[in-house]
Amino acid sequence: MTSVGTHRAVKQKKRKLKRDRLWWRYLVALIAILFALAPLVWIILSALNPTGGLATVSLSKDMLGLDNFRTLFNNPDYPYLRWYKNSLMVSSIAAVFQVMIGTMSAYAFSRIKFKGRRMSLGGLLLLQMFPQLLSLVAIFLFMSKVSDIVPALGIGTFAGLILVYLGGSMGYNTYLIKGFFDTIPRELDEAATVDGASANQIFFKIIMPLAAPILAVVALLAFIGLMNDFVLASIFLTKTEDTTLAVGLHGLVSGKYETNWGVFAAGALLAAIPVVILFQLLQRFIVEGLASGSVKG
Amino acid sequence: MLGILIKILLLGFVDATSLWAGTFLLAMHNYLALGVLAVATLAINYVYLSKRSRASRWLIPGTILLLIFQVYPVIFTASTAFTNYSTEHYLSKPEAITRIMSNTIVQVDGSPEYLMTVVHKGQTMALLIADVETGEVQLATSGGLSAVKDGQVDADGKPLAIAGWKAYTGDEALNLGDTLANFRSPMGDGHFMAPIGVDSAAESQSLLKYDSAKNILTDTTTGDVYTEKQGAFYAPDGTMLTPGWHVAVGFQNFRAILNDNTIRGPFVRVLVWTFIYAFLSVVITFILGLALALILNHPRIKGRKALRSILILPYAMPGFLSVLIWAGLLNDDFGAINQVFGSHIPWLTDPFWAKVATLLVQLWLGFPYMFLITTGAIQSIPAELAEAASVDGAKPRQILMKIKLPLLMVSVTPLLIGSFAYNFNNFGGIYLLTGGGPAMEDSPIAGATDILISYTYKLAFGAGHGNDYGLACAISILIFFIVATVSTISFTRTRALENLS
Repeated sequence: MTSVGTHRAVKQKKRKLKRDRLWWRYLVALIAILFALAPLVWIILSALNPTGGLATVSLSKDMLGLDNFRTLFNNPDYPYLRWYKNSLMVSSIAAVFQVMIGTMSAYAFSRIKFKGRRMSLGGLLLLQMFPQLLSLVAIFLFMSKVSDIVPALGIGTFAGLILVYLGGSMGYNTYLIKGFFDTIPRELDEAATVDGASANQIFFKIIMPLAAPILAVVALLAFIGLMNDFVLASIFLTKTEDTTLAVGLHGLVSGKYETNWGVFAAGALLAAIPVVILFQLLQRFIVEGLASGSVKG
Repeated sequence: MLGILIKILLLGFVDATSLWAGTFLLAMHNYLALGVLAVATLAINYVYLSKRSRASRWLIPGTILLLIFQVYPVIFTASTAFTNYSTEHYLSKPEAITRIMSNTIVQVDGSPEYLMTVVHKGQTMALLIADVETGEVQLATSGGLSAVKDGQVDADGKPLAIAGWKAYTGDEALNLGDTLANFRSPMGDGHFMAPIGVDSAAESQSLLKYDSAKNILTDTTTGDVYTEKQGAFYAPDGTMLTPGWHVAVGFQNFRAILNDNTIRGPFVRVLVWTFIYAFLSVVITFILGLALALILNHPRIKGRKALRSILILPYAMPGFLSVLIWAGLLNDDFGAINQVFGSHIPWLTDPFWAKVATLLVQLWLGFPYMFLITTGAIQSIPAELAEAASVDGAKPRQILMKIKLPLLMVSVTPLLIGSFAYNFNNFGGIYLLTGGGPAMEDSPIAGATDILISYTYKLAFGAGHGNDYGLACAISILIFFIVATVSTISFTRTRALENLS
């Protein structure tokens, strides 16, 4: 018995020693950081490298400058600032409307008992299995026909693109917001109903104020998602001047123009900064949302 | 009061828009769409004006958008999959016949000669023509001919531009190419004013005659008869008259995927790679994310919060930018990776290395996500479980393998399935990095790294070849069934659907 006991004690001591060695964990952390940051450091160096080439290993003082940014803003071949403005405009309008429409649907699903409620929720979930990406061809052919009837809403217009984005309003966002609405106690609206409040009043005066911060977060997340869209924008907005950052920047490096990595790097950097900042600010919510199954590109 | 006012204004706006769209549909004789529009408008007015139907008021805006931009495209995809919709079969039948007739024209015998100047007003093109003998000038638009009063001609006899129209120079006119060559100004009786080259025009008529009763086209000079087959007219010797029109072709697109050697080979190759890509993307990102979570989620590691903020940077970056940046990093000639490591790996031009590159990029893009979800899952495992096991004499490795990992897998498996479904259709991860390339010998379209969705995109929108929308839709349908089957099987197993309500 005793011999087994001492054996265990020795083992525990060893284990404690092992636990004390943290250096290898820090080493792993360092390698992970290098892996995560290397491409980002490289894009910053390339953006600041005025020779227009890619940043190389050796660094010197003449290799730092803002020439790429100047080219980016002044070269008429690629209207970068317009792309930027277009992206912000399309993404923010679509995000706001997506959340507005999603909120309305979520309210009905959370608060109003109606026939087919469970079935519609299940149907919505099923429909998410057929993402817009898969019906891309149909959307394109359909919108080409719309172009013939109402050119203002067809291919090549921002209004048309925003409408297509809004088609997804009832999807994932509705679930997210409904989940939050469900956590708001029903007693609140029951009390209000007793006091004679209408459904509209309950929605605008009770639910909305309570949900406002969450709705803002959902809208910002939707905004990030929309800023990232390449596919729909690429089939919709084919003109160089009237396109979004994703399509425009892709054009910069895909042979539409003479490939200039320095200018691309500068453009990519400026495009990424607001999104990355937003993302870091919303980190808490994003991590929470991850558990409920959202996947971002 | 304000509420009612807003409601009336919004309803008025909807009704006005619908009325406006209705006039367009009426003019286009699209009565089916007109009927749908009318019913929908009436329904909206009923819902918002009546006291009943409480839920629908909140659901209508989302539902309408959902029906138009998600449900309808799904139906459209399913029905297009059974047609031969493509660049060659793009039009409807009447449009195609008109186009064919105006493509095959000859000068009408004995018609006068005209010298021509091509003019335009914004995007609208027209021809100014001057009769060689009389010098009389006419304007030929796509609507018809009209005389120009006091039309002037230059020294060569070519008409000069008139007020409201700008003339193209000779070079500009040459650059118009087919836009000019296919320009027709109808003159009645099946005659057109059509350009010959860039300087002259002549009254022309179609070689072909359409007999709608027999549904044949007849060549008026040779007497050849063209008969219809699968959305096009074919000559006796089997050559097709372009353009054709789209018709239902049954399961032909699906059969082509199974039987046609030029399609089946590349399709199977792409299908296999899609599975490998989606599966490996999940596995490698999960392994790296889990390893990091286990190693770094140690109570005595300092700065764990800052570490998390740094490690999620790849995830915070806009995805399309990350992939484009990696395309630069991996560039064969001047890419930083080859420079830093002094290697000469053909990352994007060799089929094998290009596949490795797509997975490497996906590893970078995806590991923070896996790191975050596994960290969360580990932290949500009650500490008492590990303590109890430890008291019972379990070694740390046993606690990890027998308690923590099984519990972790239960909570992350649905997310891994979601990640698989996402990567199965990860268009950006492939298309923006390699464009699906490098090109393979067996197919002009499907490259070595193409997955089904990028292959579909290239079939439908790629440049340099005819676009086959029918086949693209057929493959979209197959993708849907594959993803739906895989997800349903795995989800029923993990019973994730139970939480629905």
